[in-house]
Amino acid sequence: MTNTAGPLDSFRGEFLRQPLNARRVAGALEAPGCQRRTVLDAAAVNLDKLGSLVSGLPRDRQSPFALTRGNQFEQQVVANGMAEIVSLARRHLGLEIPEVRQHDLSASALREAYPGVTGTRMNELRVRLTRQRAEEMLTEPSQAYNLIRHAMTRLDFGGEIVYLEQDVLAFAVDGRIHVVEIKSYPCIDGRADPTKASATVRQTAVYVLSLQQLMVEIGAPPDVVNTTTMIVLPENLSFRPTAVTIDIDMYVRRLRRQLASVPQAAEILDGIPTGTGLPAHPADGASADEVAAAAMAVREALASLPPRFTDGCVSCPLFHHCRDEAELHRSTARLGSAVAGVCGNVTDIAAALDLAEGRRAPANASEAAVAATLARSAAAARFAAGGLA
Amino acid sequence: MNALHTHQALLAAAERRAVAKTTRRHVHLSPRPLVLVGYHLAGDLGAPLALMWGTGRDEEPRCMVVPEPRNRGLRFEALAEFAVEFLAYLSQFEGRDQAGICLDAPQLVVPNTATADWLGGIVGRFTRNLRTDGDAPAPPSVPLAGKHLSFLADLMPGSSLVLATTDALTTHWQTGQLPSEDLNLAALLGWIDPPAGVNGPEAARAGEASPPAGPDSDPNWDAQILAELIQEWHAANDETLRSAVRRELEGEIREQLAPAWADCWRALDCLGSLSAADHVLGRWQSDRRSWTYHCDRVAGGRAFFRNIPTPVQDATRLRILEARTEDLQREMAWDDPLVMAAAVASGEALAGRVVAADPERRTRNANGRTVRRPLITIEPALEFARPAGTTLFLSTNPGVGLEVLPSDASGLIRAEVFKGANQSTTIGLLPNLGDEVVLSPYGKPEFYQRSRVEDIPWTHQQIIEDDPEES
Repeated sequence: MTNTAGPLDSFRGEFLRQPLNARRVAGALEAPGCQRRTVLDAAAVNLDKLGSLVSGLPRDRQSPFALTRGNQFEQQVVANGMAEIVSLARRHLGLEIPEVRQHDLSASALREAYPGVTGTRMNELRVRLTRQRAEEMLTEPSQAYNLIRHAMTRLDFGGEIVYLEQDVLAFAVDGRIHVVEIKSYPCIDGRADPTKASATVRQTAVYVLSLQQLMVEIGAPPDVVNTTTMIVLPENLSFRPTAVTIDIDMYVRRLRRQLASVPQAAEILDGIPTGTGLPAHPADGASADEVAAAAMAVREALASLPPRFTDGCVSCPLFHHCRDEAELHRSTARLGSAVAGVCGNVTDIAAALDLAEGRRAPANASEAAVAATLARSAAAARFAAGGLA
Repeated sequence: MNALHTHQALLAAAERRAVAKTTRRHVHLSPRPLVLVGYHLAGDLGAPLALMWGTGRDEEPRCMVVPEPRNRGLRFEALAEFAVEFLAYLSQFEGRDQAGICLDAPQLVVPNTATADWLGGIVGRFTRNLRTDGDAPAPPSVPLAGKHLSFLADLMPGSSLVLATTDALTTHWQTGQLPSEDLNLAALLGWIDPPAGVNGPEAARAGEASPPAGPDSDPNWDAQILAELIQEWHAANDETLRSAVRRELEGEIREQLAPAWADCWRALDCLGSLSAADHVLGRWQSDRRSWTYHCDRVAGGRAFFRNIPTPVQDATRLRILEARTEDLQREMAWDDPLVMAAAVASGEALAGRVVAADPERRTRNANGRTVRRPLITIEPALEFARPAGTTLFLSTNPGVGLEVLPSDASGLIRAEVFKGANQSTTIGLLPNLGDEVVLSPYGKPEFYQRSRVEDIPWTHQQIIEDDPEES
């Protein structure tokens, strides 16, 4: 596994690094089969900076108001010894929690006990402590901490070790571990925004998967981690927390399959000319020429990585670049998955229209099928416009 | 995605301009619409930041701003300002005809469905039951406006009481970009109506650069402008300073919302360039009826809305939704040859020329009686692969029902009339030899009393685990 880190690191070169987090790992689910994104993720490239450099547009940030509100809600939920969480867990997860022994593994909480530990060492320390606490949870359930905050787990993403902070809490009751996730978008009359809810589910799947891998490491069966997770949301427009439980087993399994295919990132890089890599990110005060040169070098490096443009790409930081590229190549993918699906292996818009109008004879059976569908549509439109003449 | 729309998307991309999906307009356009755009504070649906509205494109739109959206008092003060004018607009539609139906109904025009959902589902939902007595009472206009917004949040397919312009435009035009990009009104208009000398994709890029149409504001603007102004408002300690900050904020917000406001009018112009389809008026009449019914409920103090519908209500609603969706599809296809072409392209409908007709044909039915079953033979313009026994209707006269008969090797389609043109009085409705016809799956709906949903159907049963005593 560690040998794959070489080519990926050299691909990233001097460009800014951004350690992967759960959100970004979950993003892998949104761009299935995109080799470009896979390599950039595995190489831990700072995608936001890359996207903004190559498109020349300012980076999309989160509104300060949304951030403040999110933090406020989380603070409120965990206040008073997490009484709210405990009562929600009793009600929604059906857990009997006779007593709560909680432990905070956040960097700020540990700094006191371990002064001078920072960066990767701090992460490693938190991982080690999380592992110890988890072992205790399973071996001495009556003594051990049963509620852990800000636990840190690791996940292998294409040879890159990803540290995941479970902002999330793990309850250990009856020998099983339950994951709780806190989000700040509202649950209105029992329903939450489906787009946000599905993003949360994918993100929580990353946590659950990493916990399952931790269980395997310490020799416990992975199903000790319950895939029924509890998501805590504000009820309606208030700050009062409410919870929904959802079984995310399907997403965890899908994520596991996808992660298993990630090490191919190194293989993808094997297929491109050696020496291809990203330039250094221009410094803050860099001149326009320097920025343009860097953007050009990034475009060249990206050109060697095949993208897969689909409907889900809108949320990717490289969207604008890939869109321009798809447009330049006159690719049917530019029109979305539905159109690309109908056009099958005819990936060029002009070629597809030529088939539709009969200007070109289909070269093989699959082209013939595409031609038949499109020619039919063209004929139907002509018929509607008044006769087939 | 329909095969025809796929082809149209390819064409749009090649021509760099949106392609018409319809030849006529399938929404009603009011002569007095209320155009409304707005923002809420990021991450806080319940905190309106600004609303901008008006009924004429040439007039200066009205603008409501909340200098501190998280302050409940200020929020209701501002909402009351909007509510009073909103109610004044709605009150123009109270006049009734002899049958007691309102002569006209209001029309709310918003840039996108997200804004419509926010206004109805959040602003309406959380203001309709506010108390106007007791401690910290809300101004009475606010809950009343909330009731109206709640009514407008819960409309049926085919209704034009609320027009979400991106929705209306994508019904009528196909762009050459991702479906999710069509949600951006400015970009969508770029494809449909690019300025002279600019192609669709270029105009769409230019549109993307303009401030968002709401209800979410631009996060960069939030950080750079709004955050500072809210801080200034807090720092201002007397009325003059505060109103100065408020004016500055209003100026900034007008600048952000003005493009969306103008785009809504442009969208109405695009839609207005098409002639109304025949069934639009009928659907608007049904809108007028539901508006009348709603007004009666408000006047009678019976305008209640359930936050969480009961399973029976849900099931009933689903049943009506399904029926209305089918009605709309059917009516659009009847009214518009291009919409019908989509059904032809997908193979559901048969287009062709009548090559033989036997109006006098008689056959024996299952009961042994001789019945008149005129036969027409059609040379299909496009291959028609639906099996014998498929029921189709004449597109120009949907009362005429035909059944496809087993085909022979000739490639011609034979269909016998089983209703609508099989009597001496109606036989004239049969198409003539040589006519181009379309037989579609869209027949005239049978009118019969719809049965009420009384028991909870299995689709809406809730699993009750807590109560083992029951069952």
